[in-house]
Amino acid sequence: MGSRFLAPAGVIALVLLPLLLQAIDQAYYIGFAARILIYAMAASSLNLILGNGGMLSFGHAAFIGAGAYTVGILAAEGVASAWIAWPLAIGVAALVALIIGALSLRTRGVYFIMITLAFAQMMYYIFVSMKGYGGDDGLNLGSRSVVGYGIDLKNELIWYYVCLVLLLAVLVLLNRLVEARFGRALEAMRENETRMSAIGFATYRHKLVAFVIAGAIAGLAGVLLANHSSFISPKLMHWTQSGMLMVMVIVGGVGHRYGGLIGAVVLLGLEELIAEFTLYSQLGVGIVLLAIVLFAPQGIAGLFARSQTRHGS
Amino acid sequence: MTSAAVLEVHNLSKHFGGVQANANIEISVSARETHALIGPNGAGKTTLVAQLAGMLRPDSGAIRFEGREITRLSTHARVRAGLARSFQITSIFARFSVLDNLALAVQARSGTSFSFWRPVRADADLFEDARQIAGEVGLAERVGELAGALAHGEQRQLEVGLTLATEPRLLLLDEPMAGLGPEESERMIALLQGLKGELAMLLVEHDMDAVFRLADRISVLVAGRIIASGTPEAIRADVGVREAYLGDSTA
Repeated sequence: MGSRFLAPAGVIALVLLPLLLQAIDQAYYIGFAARILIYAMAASSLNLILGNGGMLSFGHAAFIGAGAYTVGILAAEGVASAWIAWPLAIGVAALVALIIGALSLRTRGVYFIMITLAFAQMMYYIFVSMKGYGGDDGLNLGSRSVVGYGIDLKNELIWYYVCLVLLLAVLVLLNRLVEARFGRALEAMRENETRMSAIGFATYRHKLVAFVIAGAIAGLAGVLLANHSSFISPKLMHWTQSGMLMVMVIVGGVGHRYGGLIGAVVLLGLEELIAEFTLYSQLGVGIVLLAIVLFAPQGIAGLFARSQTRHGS
Repeated sequence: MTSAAVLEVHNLSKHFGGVQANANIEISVSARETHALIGPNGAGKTTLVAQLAGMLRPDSGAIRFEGREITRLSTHARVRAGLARSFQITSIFARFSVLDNLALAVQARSGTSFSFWRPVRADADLFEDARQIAGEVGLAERVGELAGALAHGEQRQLEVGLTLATEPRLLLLDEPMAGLGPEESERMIALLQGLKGELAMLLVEHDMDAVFRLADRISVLVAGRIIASGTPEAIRADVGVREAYLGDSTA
């Protein structure tokens, strides 16, 4: 089976999923599925810089936080319109990514990991100390953003489809971008940055643009996450969140076009599944992740890619 | 110093801690000239190339390219201005095909790389140019191979090809013969002979046979200083050079 059929089949499955859940009286899981879609978006954006760009950013949660808090603070100040709040939130996240990226991308390797982590933790502590907006306890949004046109985001089914449409849009954008001049150059910089500058590429600027795009998309994921639970807290920016996104990318497939999606499905699905059976869900998830990393070092998407090449081209 | 100098280096110095890698270097390359730079290991040749390419900041001195001061210009800006380097240690995109390697270099000089939607594959001109360069460096039959799977000699040809693809007017070649067998060396010399006269070259090389066959002018770098500069005949006859570097037996 070629990946040509895999993608449309996946889309159809995702479209039908909530209807199926309703039919078997498990509508509770529609919300859970929406959460997976949101994390898939965040992980996919990380995969652009981590997988395609080779930038080991350990602070991706900062952009989720920037998006979520922009929506949250605007809601607290009485601005509930999605048309105002969402673009603004994406813009704020992009700006935060621009600042963090501009400084971090001057460093390499472990220093880059540490500095992105440090910036995200800084954001975390800033919002912990912002008592006006809930501080440590977080902030209740009261309701989801208002879209109008008869679309009520509080309806779980509508909410799921909004998340799905946005995720698909992001995936199409990322897939196009990776195959376009921009993405090819980005991947070549991951391979050999010195050579790229020696053939005339402004590598720093190029990577910074990728970093900002990833930050903006993570910001949108933050917007959705804030709306999803109508609640935000500094925990969204905690380093464990950044770490979880990295695990999703690694498990799903670093640099694979659906790595983020697969990783989010597997990781969040596993957590939910194992929590059904045992209190020690984290231990169980850890063991399964260990097995995946050991037996599928290219991630789960890598397994598919390998079996495809084995069946001949 | 000729008036049509493509590259002029004045009083260039660089030290690493207590080691003076380059001391008051004066060197120039005229238009279409092949200027060879020779010298024993550790003489500071690669340090000089790195400064000319913008990968190392000189402590003092000035670099002028086509009359324009470029001492503080970034590497990529120099490449776009027409000054490109090759590497002594092969620096290619090992996991990309030969064609993709060259297409990247073509992409760098043709149009924007901030194009996010149109697939690279649809960019026929890019691959057309890449194919042509592959032909020029003798890799026409190998365009589909992964660069990492090429033989060492072929990788050296690709190394030169990547540099050529930027359409330089001055080529900085850092030991293009490094690690090549006799047959591969002949192929590389033929390749460079084909380029000779088309563009200016600063050729850093240990292979004296290649140097004397290719160079219009030779400069000798010893312990960070240029100790002689002149025609191949003059350098061959220079007593100081023979003592410092060539060794009496080679003459």
